[in-house]
Parts: sequence; C-alpha cells; structure tokens
Amino acid sequence: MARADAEAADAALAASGDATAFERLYRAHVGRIHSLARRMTNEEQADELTQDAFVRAWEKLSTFRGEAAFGTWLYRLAVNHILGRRAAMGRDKARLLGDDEALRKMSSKRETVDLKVDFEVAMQRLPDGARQVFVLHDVEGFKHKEIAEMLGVTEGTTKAQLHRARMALRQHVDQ
Amino acid sequence: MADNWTDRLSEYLDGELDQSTSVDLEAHLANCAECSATLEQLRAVAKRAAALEDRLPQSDLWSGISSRIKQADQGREQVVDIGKKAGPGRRISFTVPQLLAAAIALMAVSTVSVWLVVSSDRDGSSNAIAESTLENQSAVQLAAFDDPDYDAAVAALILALEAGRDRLDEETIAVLERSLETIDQAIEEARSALLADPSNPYLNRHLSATMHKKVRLLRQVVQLAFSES
Repeated sequence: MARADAEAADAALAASGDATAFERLYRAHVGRIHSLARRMTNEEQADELTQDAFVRAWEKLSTFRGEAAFGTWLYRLAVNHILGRRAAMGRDKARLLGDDEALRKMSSKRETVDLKVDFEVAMQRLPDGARQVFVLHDVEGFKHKEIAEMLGVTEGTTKAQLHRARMALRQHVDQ
Repeated sequence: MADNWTDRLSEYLDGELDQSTSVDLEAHLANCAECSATLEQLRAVAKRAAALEDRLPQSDLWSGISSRIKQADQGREQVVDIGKKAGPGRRISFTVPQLLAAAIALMAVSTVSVWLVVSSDRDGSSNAIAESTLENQSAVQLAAFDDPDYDAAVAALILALEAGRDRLDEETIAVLERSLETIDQAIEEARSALLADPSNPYLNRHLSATMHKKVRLLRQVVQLAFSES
C-alpha cells in the first residue's frame, strides 16, 4: 500500500473526528515539525509551538483537499504558525533588519573552540532574523521569494541575511 | 580581507546572479584565492544545513495534543470499532449484516443520536460536530444542513475509499454502494421534507442521524481498508 494513500486515508479519518488516525499522523511528522520549530526558535518554545501546530492542523483538517501530500500541507501550516506567532510577538521584522551588528561580531570571531561547537548550536547563536532565513532557505529549501513573502521583507533582505548567516557559520563546518 | 565580490558569493552559489555578473565573478575567482576559499566554505555550510537530521522532541507531546483536541471537540463522535483489523496484504471483507444493519438503522424512528453543533466550539471560527442524546438538546442547537465541515469530511472519506477500493472485495463494495445509496436517498428525502416544515424536530433529528450514519459507515470502511496489523 502506498504510504501516501495511507496518509490520505488517515487525514480523511482524522477530518471525520478519528483521533487515533490523527495520532498516526502525529507520530509520522512530529520529528520534522519539532525540528523546524526548534531551529526557528529554541528547545523550550519548540514544544509549545509543535503542540500548537498539531492542534491547529486538527482544527483545519477540513480544509485539507489532498492536492498536496498531507506532510506538505502540515509543514506549511506549521511554518505559517511559527512565523505568525513570532510576528505577533513583534519580534520579527525589527530583528530581521537590525541584527547586522550581531552578525558581524559573530562572523568575526575566530576562537578555535568554536570549531568544535555543534553546527545546530551555532545556528542557535545566530540573530533571530538571520537564523530564520537560513533555516527556511538552506535547511528547509524555500526560495527567497517565498521567504520574503512569509517574512514581509524584500528578497534583497533575505539574500543579504542568508549570506551573513552562512559567513557566520563557516567556522563550524568541516570541509 | 573581503573584497567587493565577497558579498555576492552566496548569490553565485545559489545561481541567483545574472549571466554577465557570474562571468565577471568567475574571472575574479580565478585570481582570488581568498574568495575561492570562502566560496567553498559557504558551499560546505549550505551542504551541512541541507543534511541536518530531524529529531524527536525530548518528551512525547501527544498527550498534551490529545487533551487539547479532546477539550476543543468535547462530545465529538467517538470512533466505533466494528471489526478486526486485517493482516497485511489481505483483502478485506466486512460482513453483509454489518452494512445492512447500518442502513436499516438509518430508518429507525427510535434513533436518539443526533448531530449537533456545539456552541462553544474550538476558537469560534468553526463548528464541531457532536453526538449527544436527546436529553442534552437544551444545551446545543441543531446542525445546519450545509455544514462545510461535514461536506469536507464526507468528500475526504470518499476519496480515501476510492484509493483503498482494491483492498475490498466486490461483494463488500456492492453492499457498501447500496447502503450509501439508501443513506443518500434518506438524506435527500429528509431535506426535502424539512423545506416544507423547517422547524419539525423529528425531521431535524432524522436528518442529523442520517448524516451521522453516513460518516460513520464511510469511516468504518476506510479504517478497515487501510488497517494493517
């Protein structure tokens, strides 16, 4: 049986109120959703954001039409929820446009100890705006145009942030 | 030391530069060891990011999610398990009497289950469908005829059923289709009757019960078609 068919069936069952089917969907996707939330925020907020995303998915299941895979629909919903939550906190845009100095400091550090820092830990040290763009582009594969629309900034801004984030992370990869 | 080309390296790496600028940058890279080294570092960062593996949360979040959706959907219909799960690869057959019983039950005047719209729903933007008893009616209102959540649920279940159709034997499919035809006819008749007498409580309950039975029947068949154990 194709996994996609089974997931579509579980989505249909969940939309009709079957919580057991929804739990199967949760088990299949929680790793990806939680990792996204953790990388976009931090470990503490990731749990709450993940729970929120799945509860919201449950509430919105009737809008899932099956044109895309369930995982794709869920993932996009989670991205929008995470960004929406952060925007509601009034953090995003100002941070996105105002973290140049922090990035410059970060990328200028050359301590040898940082070479041993886990890559994901180093990502967490990026300023919020640069981290979001980096995660959405390099980890999750979104295009600059999509990211700019999601964050409400120009493509020029997202490209600049991505470059600065990569420059800051150079010292944390083995070549 | 960074030069004027350094800030364009990520765009070059991502294929975002126009052809002319790319050619100029490549000419620069041929003569600038520092930019070439930086480009390789940026390439390594992007490659590392793309290869990151997802990991599960440190604690299972399902219990919290489960309690929240239960709270939001208080009274929502519970799954009714009508049969054993089929083994892998086995064609599924559920008994004719089960399906007939579902169809006959639609006509039962004594049915007390009704579809209801819970007034205090999830976030005020959508309706939850609930099963309740007649005794509880005072706390709720009758379901609307054209509930979009209901229509979406039925459409999704029918799509899923089509996807799993080859796992059902012909007799099962034939009985299912006859049952659905009976159900749809009952829904249509109830709707027509309600147009003439919109406030008739019996007709409202009958329509609600019939819509409920249709979802339950579809759900049971989809569960059976896709169950694995």
